[in-house]
Amino acid sequence: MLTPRQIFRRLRDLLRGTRLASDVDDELRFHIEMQTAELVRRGMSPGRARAKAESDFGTVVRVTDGVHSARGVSVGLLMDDLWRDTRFATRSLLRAPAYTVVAIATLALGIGATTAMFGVVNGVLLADLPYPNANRLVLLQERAVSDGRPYTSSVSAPNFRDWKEQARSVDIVAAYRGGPTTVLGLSEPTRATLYAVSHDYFTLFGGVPLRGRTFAATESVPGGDPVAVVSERFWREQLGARADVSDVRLQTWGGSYRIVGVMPAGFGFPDDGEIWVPLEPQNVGMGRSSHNDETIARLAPGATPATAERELQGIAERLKEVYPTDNNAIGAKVTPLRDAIVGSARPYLRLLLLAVAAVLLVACVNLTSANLARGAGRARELSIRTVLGAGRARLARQLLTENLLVAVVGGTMGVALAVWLVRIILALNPTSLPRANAIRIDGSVLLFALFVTVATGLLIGLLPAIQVGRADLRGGMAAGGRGTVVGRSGVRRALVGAEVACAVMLLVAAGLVVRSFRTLLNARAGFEPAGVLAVTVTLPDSRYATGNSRSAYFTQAVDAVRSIPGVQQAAMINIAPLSRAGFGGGMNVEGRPTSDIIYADYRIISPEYFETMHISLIAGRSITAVDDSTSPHVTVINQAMAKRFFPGENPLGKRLRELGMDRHRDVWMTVVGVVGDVRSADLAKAAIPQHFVPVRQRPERANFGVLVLRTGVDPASIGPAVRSRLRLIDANVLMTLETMDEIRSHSVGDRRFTTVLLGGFAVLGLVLAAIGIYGVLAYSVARRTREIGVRMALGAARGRVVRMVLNDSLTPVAFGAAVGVAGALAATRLMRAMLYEVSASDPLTFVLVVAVLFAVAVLASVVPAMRAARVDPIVALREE
Amino acid sequence: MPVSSRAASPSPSDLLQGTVDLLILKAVSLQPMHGWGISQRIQQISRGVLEVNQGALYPALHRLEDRGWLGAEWGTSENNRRAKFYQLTTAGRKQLSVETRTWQRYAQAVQLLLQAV
Repeated sequence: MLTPRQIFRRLRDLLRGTRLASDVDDELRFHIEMQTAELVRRGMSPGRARAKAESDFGTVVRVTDGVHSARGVSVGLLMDDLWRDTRFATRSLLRAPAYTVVAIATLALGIGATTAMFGVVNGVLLADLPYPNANRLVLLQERAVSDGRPYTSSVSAPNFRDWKEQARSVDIVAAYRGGPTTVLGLSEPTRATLYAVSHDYFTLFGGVPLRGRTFAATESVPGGDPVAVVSERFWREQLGARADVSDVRLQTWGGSYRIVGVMPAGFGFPDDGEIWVPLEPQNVGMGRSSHNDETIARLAPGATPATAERELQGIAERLKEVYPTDNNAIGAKVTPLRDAIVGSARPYLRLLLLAVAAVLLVACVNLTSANLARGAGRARELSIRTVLGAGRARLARQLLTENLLVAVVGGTMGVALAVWLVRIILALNPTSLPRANAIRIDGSVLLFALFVTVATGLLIGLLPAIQVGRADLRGGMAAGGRGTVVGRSGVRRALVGAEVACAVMLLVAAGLVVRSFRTLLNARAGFEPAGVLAVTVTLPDSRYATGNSRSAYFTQAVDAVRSIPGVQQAAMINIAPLSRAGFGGGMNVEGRPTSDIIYADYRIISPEYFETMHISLIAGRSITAVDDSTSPHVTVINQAMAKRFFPGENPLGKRLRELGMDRHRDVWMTVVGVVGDVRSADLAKAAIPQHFVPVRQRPERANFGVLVLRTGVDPASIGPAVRSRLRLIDANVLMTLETMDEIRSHSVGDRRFTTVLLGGFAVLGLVLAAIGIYGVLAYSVARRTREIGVRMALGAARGRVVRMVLNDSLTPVAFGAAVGVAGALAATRLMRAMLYEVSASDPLTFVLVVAVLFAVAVLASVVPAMRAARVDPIVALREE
Repeated sequence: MPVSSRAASPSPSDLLQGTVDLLILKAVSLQPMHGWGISQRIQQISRGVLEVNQGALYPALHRLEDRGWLGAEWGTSENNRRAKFYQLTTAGRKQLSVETRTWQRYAQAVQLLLQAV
């Protein structure tokens, strides 16, 4: 136990820093000088006197160490030592340039990749959302049941009002809906992202207008004044940043809006909003079953998502009792907003982070191995230094310093690399990662990089330092310095086994993901995307207010594009497959009780849609030109719907009735055909029940649509022709062109991202492991040259020698592979959710990985093995 | 953290360390002195019998200073060099008498043992 005086003294030493070290030095030197003077006085020659004085005194270094330890810890002395160690480390690293360069490069790569990956994880999963009280924001959803299956959906307007009024566990509730839309009234028709938002939206997301104001209470009510607030970018780009925009009227969403305010960049959720208008006037007449509005709320102080959900569940159940028929919400779900946004990306990103850590581990193992090998070459140097008085611990510390130095230099370069890597990642992947704009190398990422750098340096230096601690250092002086400083080869073989195990696990994970991705790409989407161009058009409300006008437009548009040279077939659908989620509603089947409501996805199509998309017709007929506004209403259903709602019966001839999806509530439609399933929004998920209605009969919800054209030529090449034809019909309609292949490719964007990165890491890990195997084997052969020479001189055939060498490397590889396979079997079980139709213990993948690994290991062993075979016994025996 | 190389150098038993401490405290009690002077003094007064291992002297001096039994000051030596002078503190004086009594008791015990036939 330290007395206060002792503590005080140590603190004072700390402040005096390196001054203390030189003081001690002075004191000891003074003694030696006095002793020298005394010996000279007694008659010795000055030279001899000095030598005797010094030897009598003992090793200065050792005494100094003794003094230092008597004084207790002193940072000043520690700093002095550290500085000396660093200088020494630099010199010894510069003397081994090959090792140094390779080590720094390896670490730069490993630490850089790990840091970049952490940057991604940090931005997407860890960083706070950029809103006030972001951690208290929750997403509210309704729970409902369709045909015995539960699902969650957005909240209907009347329920929103009731929940807002009655709930105590949330103190601000806001709703919004919207998306890309056409805006007229500017110098030319523009596409902009518009959200209709409830009154509290601005308070919830902390929006302070740059200019003007947000909505007044009188505007956020049904029948309120049509006012709009625009984003700073919209104001700059579309309105020229004019100070006075009172004359501008934005024609969109069925209204003519006056601008009253400008919001700063990045405001709101989602943060791509450009125009905001009040939601309440839009929701007039919305029923309790129209689940339209995304609802976000802020938890009241003291509430948690769980308590909020319990309360809202109770409210929802009570509302269901009060409105039994009109309200199909039977419960509520409360999710923290961040989980809702990034939850799906979490497993992927975790996997990638683990993978990159595995790569770094393999790199560390390589460097440790290299260090141990280097240690042998330095046996002599270390012995000399021991004789000169360096303590064991001191040597170990110096080795550790050396490795930390390498790590720090490598780490610094790695951070620079990480900045570059993050830029590449963002360029490759604009849409699939949620919150991609929060990804950056910031303070916490740098801190992580520092931690990883130090940990890596310590890890690499650990084994060599331990060895120095245990070895017989003085013995290295004898036996020509070739001796026993470096440990038994068992350690190195274990290292090889370890890195092979890591590499195997990486490769298995990557292999499974790659196979899963390829299977997904080849999955039968249910239609033929190649050669199809998709033209998304949005009809401005002001010009296409009636269903008839919409129907007329689409009929005209399809005819117009069909006549373009190169186009074989053309049709229209409201939402293209694999592009985004559709919408649907409840229906009755004639002959079943009206309380028996079935739910199916609702698609509006023109004649020849199925033929254009090469969707197979299974029974009955498809929609044709016959089905127009004067003929009886019909519908075509998909196989999933037939199986789900008409099991064992023939669906043809059955009649269905929409309960609110379009304006034809009481008009029965007859099922006239059954078509093959098409994956709706996600290739990985099975097809959902869908039914298709003719646009000429039910155009009301077709204020936007997608024209699909099948061409015999490259779809992109007819783009200009399509644009000009459509512009002829109406120049105010904005369109976006994509090929169906591109749409399909986008739909698997996040999987592609994971697959590419994971594959890259696995290859990197394999290459590093191969280098490690080669290095260990090359070193082993070099050390055993003499032994090989002896064996050959005694009559061993070259083949035998080669086999012996190969055995040296392949045995640990085999062990490592076995461990890796076992580990992979255990670990990939956690990946099951990510794999598409590939088992987590897929035998083909495992066998392939092990085969590849062995092939690589043999390849890496070839050169050293051949070198062993070519050993000339005479030369080897002569070698010292 | 400088782990002392005590493991490699001859590790004094507690008794031996105590003896060195006693010698130093006694030598310094007569007059403040620098390290070399202390080692000379011990030799002279013991008529050449006792000679402190010079490698152990300085760690001992610093230990005693750390414990507060010796105080230290930088001054000028007799040959005009910068040297560190140690003197006995009040606590050191008390420790000296404690160590002296302990030593005397030990010497008596040994004497008794040797006299027992």
